[in-house]
Amino acid sequence: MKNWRIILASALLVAAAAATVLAYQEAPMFEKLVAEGKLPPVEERLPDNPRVITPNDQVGRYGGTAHVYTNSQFWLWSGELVGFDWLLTVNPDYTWGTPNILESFEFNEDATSITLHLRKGLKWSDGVPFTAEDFMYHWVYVANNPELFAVVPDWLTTNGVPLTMASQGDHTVVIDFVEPNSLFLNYISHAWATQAWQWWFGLFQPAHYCKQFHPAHIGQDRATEMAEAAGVASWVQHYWNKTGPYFGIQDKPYTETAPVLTAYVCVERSPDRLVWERNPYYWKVDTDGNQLPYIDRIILHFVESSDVIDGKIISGEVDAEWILADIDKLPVYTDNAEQGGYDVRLWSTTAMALYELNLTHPDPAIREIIQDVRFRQALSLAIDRDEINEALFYGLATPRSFTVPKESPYFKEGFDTSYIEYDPVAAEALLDAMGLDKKDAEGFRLRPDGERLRLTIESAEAETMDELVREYWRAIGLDIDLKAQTQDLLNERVAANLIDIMPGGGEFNIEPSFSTLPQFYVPLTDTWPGLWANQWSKWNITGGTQGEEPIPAIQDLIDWYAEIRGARSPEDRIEPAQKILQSHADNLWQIGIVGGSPWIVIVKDDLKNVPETGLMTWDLARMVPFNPQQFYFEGREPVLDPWPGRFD
Amino acid sequence: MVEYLCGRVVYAVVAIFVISVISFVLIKAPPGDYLTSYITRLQGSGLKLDAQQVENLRAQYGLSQPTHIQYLKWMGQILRGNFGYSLYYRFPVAQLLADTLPFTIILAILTLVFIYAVSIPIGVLSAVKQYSVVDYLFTVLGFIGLSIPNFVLALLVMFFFYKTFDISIGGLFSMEYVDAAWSWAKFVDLVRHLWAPVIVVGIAGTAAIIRVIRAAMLDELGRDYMQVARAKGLSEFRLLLKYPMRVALNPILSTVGWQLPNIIGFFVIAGIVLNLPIIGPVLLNALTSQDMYLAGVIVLFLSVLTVVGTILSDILLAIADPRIRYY
Repeated sequence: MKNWRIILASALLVAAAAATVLAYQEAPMFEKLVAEGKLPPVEERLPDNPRVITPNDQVGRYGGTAHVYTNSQFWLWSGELVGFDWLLTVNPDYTWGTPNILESFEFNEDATSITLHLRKGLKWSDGVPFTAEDFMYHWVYVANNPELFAVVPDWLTTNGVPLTMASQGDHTVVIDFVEPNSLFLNYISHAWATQAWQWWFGLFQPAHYCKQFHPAHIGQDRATEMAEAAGVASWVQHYWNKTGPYFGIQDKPYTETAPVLTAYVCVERSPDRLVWERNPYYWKVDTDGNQLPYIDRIILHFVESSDVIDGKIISGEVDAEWILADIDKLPVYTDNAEQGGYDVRLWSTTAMALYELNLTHPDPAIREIIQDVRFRQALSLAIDRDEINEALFYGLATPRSFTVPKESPYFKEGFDTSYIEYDPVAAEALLDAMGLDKKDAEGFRLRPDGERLRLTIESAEAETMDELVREYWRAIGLDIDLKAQTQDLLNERVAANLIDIMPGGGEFNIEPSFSTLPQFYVPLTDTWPGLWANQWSKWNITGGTQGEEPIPAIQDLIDWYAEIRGARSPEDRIEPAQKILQSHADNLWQIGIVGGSPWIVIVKDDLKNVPETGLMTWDLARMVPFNPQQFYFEGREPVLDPWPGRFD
Repeated sequence: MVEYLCGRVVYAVVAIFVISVISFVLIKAPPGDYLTSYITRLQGSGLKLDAQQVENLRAQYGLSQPTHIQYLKWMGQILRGNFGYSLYYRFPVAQLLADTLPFTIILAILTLVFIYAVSIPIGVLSAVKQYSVVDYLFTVLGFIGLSIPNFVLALLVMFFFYKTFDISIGGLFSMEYVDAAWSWAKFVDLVRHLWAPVIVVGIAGTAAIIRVIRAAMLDELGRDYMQVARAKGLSEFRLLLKYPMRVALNPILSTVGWQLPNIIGFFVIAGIVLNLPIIGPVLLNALTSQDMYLAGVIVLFLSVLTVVGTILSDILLAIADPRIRYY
């Protein structure tokens, strides 16, 4: 009898689920297209089990065109309102690994194999089902084609051996590694697990669409012919031109777009702007069964400078701005908020303000001084972090030594308070003790070889913080210069190891990014940010052919990171991560200033469901955890006609 | 005359060729190339590229060849009418030019008209009333106009226009007219937006021309032929127009040819601040991102404009000033 009850209960549940299935609603634009027979009904467009998004405040309404702005041809900035979607996703509460494109996934016990389960019935924006074939095609014909991608990237290998991939039916993909790789979970929760394009390896491509440009399917002659007809140098370039999706500005060389899985489809591109319109096959619904997104169209305007965007913000032409609003201009934004009809919200960021000292400085005399921990302690003690906080961050940031935020599972008491008290007297004593006690006529300290100790802070933009820090360090007898130059020149100088000190924005502090992008903590790249351990990084990257062999304390960091990479579970990463952070607290490899600084988010009054506060950081992919698809406009009319030519 | 013209045209072609070589080399001169800066930007969001992959990309973009090969290929394409592809904007260069050139030329011509319409009468007036209150007033105003940085003036004018006339900040159209087809209302909207850039760039140019006209007029006003004309009973106004002004315009005519590229250059900063869909900001972006095909074509275009303008100036001068002879 008991069994019967269970069966009955299950039957009721299935019926309830079916009832919700029938209750899906769609935007007026698509209702019209369905009535005209140009689109299948919404139930057929949605997967069997769509991802349900709980709206931030309330269930929204369809309609409106959002106007957002960027000052760059490289980055979308607030154009990220169109949203990114990855296999798994990140959440506002610092968690990650939530199923997104995937319905579910499971690791085996030692994390050498992961099984991905796709949502049945999930479709590309052209209506063709998204299946295991899209993964297999990419892996076999794109990822492992040396002309399209020269090498399989590091994150898809363990111990230098690439993964193996197999499909089981249409909706299951099994990925095997030769060594444990629990870190794979971090990668597929962030921007790695996406549709591939020329610059981004990705994990899948729309096979049905891409095959028409690939020589393996149409023959080398035909592929070359097509490239020539398009006036492109090689079939490779032609392939990428045709198959690039539109989720980043980086991909906008194309006049026609490949199918995508994201909420919006790009419908127009010009040097002045990008226009996106809703994707009829988008696979997220709200709690009432309304197919997302709510906003009909997004127009991203390219402008030449962020000053123009500031002007447009105060005159009320900007619907949302969460990247380029400058904290220095907070009073300007708030003074004009009422007239411009927008709200100024203070979020915060996990990125840290810090200074990178060149530990592998080319001048041996300076290198010896910088490598002396007492010198770094003195520099840290000489900084009045409270004053910086008051002067630049309205007192809203937290003075901190360089470490992860408190919310990180790797944080321990004391990591954030290492040598952060303001004590210039102790700083001077440390410098005296290490033999920098002789001063010249102007009161600046001399190096042991009798020359004045001069160091230059080089940056891409003249910032007030650099000036404050220069004064603090001059006060303890160090001759500090400032030099601002273009970002490109600065990058060149970092790569050539010509810089003494550089301000840095310590990012990648929290998972899933801490373990995947550890370059602020472990010397793994010689470019960005890459100054603090330049030559050691170079040694590490080139396998010992260039650069210099790391000192033991730095080699420890590299070894501990290897433990993180080989961890069998997230818990196994805690110990090596804490060792790395302890080393940073003890050695002050970089000088942290403040963390948790405030971040301005501008939201037009009628744009709803945008949280009052939150974290803005690329570690959590900026707006992604807040699901921009559920933002909506109160009272803007739905757009009824699709973009000219889109459904003809 | 014909011989003289032919000689000028031959020189012009040689000059344009030399300019194109020099500008291409200069654009390529800074360390790194377009890909270097692009890759560095992408590293900020976690991109890791293998050295081999970078080489592949460089070859695909045609950046791995030596500079002279790149130049010859580029020139060969241009002679065949293909301006190439902008790496930075990812649009055909021809399309970028087609989008920006009309507004650029409209703005430049309007500005030129504004400059002459304002400065010639003021220059003449200052000369005729030398050391009077009017002369000093315009001298001071002129120098203020010359010394205020372009971008500061642009910000002030933009803010003023927004507050008093409710004209949207930046751009040449209000939001509602961007997508609209051409209509009377859209035209009026454009005219409302054109004022700010014309004034901003025009004011700096005006001051210089006022000084030139004033000096040239002063040279002429004391001449004997003025006395003769007055003695013959010519009215003072007709006299001014007929004799000294004609001579005083010579320096203007000899420079009118390269005023146009000059003004386009002035519009770089103003164009950025005022967010104008013109060629100045495009050139700046092309240069900073080492997009040599785009930058090369624009520089080439500006130099052609300069050279052709100079030839036109020479012809105008020859017509206006009978004292000029050709050998």
